[in-house]
Amino acid sequence: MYTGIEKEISMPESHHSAFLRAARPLLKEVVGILSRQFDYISVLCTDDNGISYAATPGETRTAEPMWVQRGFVFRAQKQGKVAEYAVSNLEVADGAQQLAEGIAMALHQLLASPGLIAYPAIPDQAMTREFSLQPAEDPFLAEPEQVLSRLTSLRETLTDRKVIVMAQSRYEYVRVSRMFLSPHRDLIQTFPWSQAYLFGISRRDQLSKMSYRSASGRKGLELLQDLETTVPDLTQELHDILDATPIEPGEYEVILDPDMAGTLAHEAFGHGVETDMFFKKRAKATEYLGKRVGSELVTMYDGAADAEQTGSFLFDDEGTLAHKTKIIDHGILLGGISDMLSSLALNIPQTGNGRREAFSHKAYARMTNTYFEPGTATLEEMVASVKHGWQLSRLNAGMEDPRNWGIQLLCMVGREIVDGAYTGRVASPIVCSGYVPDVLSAISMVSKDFTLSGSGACGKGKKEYVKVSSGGPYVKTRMRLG
Amino acid sequence: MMNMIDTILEGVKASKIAISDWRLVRKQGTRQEQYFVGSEAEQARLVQETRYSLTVYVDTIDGDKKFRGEATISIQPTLTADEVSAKIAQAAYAASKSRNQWFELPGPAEPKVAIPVSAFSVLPESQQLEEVRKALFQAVPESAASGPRINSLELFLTHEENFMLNSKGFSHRSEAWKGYSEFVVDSASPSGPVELFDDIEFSEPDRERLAETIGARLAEVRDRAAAVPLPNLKDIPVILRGKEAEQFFAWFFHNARTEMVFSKASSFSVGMNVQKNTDTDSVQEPLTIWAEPFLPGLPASTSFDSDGFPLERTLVVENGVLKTLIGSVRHADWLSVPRKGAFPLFSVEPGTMPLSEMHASPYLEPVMFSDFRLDPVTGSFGAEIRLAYYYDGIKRVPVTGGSISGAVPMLRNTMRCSTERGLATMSLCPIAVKLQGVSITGMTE
Repeated sequence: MYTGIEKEISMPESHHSAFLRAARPLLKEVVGILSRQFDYISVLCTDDNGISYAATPGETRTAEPMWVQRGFVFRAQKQGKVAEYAVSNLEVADGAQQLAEGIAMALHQLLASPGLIAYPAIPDQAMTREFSLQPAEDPFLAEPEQVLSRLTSLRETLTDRKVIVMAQSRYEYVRVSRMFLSPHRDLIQTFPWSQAYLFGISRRDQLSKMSYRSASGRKGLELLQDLETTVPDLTQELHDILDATPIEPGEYEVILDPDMAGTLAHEAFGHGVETDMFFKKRAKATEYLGKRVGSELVTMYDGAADAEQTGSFLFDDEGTLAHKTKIIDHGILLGGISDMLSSLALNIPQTGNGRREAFSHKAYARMTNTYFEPGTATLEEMVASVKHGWQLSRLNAGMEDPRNWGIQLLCMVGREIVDGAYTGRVASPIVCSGYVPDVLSAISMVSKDFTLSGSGACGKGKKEYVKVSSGGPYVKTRMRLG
Repeated sequence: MMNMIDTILEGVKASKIAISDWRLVRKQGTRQEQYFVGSEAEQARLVQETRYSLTVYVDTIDGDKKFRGEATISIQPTLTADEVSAKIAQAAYAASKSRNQWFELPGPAEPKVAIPVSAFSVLPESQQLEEVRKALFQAVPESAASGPRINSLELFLTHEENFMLNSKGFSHRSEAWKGYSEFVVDSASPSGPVELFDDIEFSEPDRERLAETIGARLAEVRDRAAAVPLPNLKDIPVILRGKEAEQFFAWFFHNARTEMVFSKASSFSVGMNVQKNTDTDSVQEPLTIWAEPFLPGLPASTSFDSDGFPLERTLVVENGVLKTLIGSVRHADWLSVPRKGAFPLFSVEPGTMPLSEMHASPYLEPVMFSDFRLDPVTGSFGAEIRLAYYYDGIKRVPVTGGSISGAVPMLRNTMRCSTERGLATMSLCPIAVKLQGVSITGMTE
């Protein structure tokens, strides 16, 4: 089940990477040869390009984002066991037969490893798809001086050298180009994403505070306009947080901005329903399938399909088409998001969430675009309803606890609300914590807004970063703050 | 047929925009990987990867001022010679549009510290990862069926051959063994299983260190199973341990970096006491911190920094006073301070309070957080507690939930450091730091 894709896949093939197009015939031949030795064989070939620009005090630089990569990962299955061989180089001059022999030797050796789990057969239904999306302003065609000048102007506008002592700005562009081939599957996709940041540091005596604005999307340089409008607001915020006072530890009514709310969704029931966690018996969620985990107002989705942000794609890194998965429906937990192997081991649907940091990394069950469904309230109504609480914004980080359902969100700005009005008091930073079902059950208002933010990256444990987005509406709930 | 390095250097020479200097790094690695669910292996994987990173510098002159711009590109081994040339041309053009202060790349130099060859290199290939696996799994008690156990474990061992060269004649080859493991341990409890997550970096098949790391977490997860909600506590010291203590010390190390000082992200200056907020503050535990190129067992050890500058053990902070800025050579030049290079590691001299003394009076000692974050600029830190020990002066009980928060600048003059030291992820430092004034958010009103 997938949506929002078919209508977008009629772009001319020339929009795809020349490297992928050139590699395709040879790789198809290699896959064909290998398919005679293994029960299943596939190759994911990546050619992600990118460019980054940065302006820091006294410096400007051009480089490439960490996401730039080119390589191949072959996956084989034999008698249920699975092995992967990832390489950055193939000696194409050797020809398909010799290449296949080298790859087969590596895969056979890996499959002889002791203790390998045997999975049901990896499916390989016939499918041919392509997807291409071009940015309005292609950064590869831009004049570097102009981009650096815009970034320099952004940081210089923010810095007043009295209170805001330092600012830096950064823009990153990645053109994702991936091809997946198996005996019956032939998929290729090319699409852009961009992210941009503006950071500032304000200082008084020895006290330093930091805040930021960011922008992201399936865009090119046109994204910078989104960031340029944020300077006045960030300037005010950097002044405000210098006067921040420590929050009295305790449980409060909180209004989470869309970024914070999305991260609550991401950490609470994103990681918690990644089905490789089910497979490892690390997910408490398995005990709650079909049961209530949140208030009636909570409906939550994850999906690379039907959303336009940095977690969107046509197919995942295991050749499964993107889906839109409803995880929670009016407070009832429905199911998880899967990678290929855990879906096979658990006999559950494939949802197109098998993702890799790069060709050289393993595929895990990972989120894509994760969000709460909007409600009917307005932010003004939510603020008016608060007796004593805080409006929280500027996400710093979040962390999941899939087995024991703790939740941690760090935010950089909290604004106090008493009797339905802002008091002007600010706290920074704030640690927000709670027990996931308590926090979701306490959701009492959900705004009609909807914003996705994809300027961060999501790790699995402490590594395996992939681009995701999260967001949705403003959400009112209760959390412990400190 | 030309090899890739020749192709790249041909591309540099052929650039229409004159490239004034360049730096090239090649990393060739083979990574063995294992993924365990219980004692079974999820899948088998092998990675062979070669990466090139080229930085081009283009100088411009405006009046009597000389500027230097730079751009860095990655070059994959499958790029054709034409593609390489095109990327270099694009990078040179971008570099010509940056006008940063000029600086000189380091030239040829002998290493000032020798990095010993890892014991992994003398093990047969089939035994390298197996040694680590055995060490980690040997920590599981015999009675694992009912007690704490390894739920899942990922194991990576990369053998990397590095080659760095630049236009000034610098050339250096090195070899590195980079080991990493993430693991989850769990244990039964009356309310269902509980777990703890941790990771370790290593460069040697040090069975004792590996087994101790996972053994400590196995003991702690048993305590998490018995933990009670963290009560609201006020005016009680917090003892940070291990990696979290390291992050606390790292704030001083990071703020002594030339790039932080140059950009004004750091307010440090040479000669200032970095543990005082005001001149009248008294410092209870003056810190002495060294920048280290090499610490046995830590994979980030290196004899040259990424610019090719030879690293030598350097005193950074002595008795709380900043003695030397360390960091990239360009920022050192721009600040007109001596070049010391960018160090990957640091050490902190032992403190004066034995752990037993820290434990002699009431404290809260978190040993596992959801995700401890300490901002390298502001020094603010905070995290939810997964497991801590609370000692009320009579008994020590495991507690869970709630959070702590604070800021290094507010705690630096009253902090106390343990006399005992240990390896963490980027340092050899006191294994515990005792802090008065950390905010604690409990689970009970």
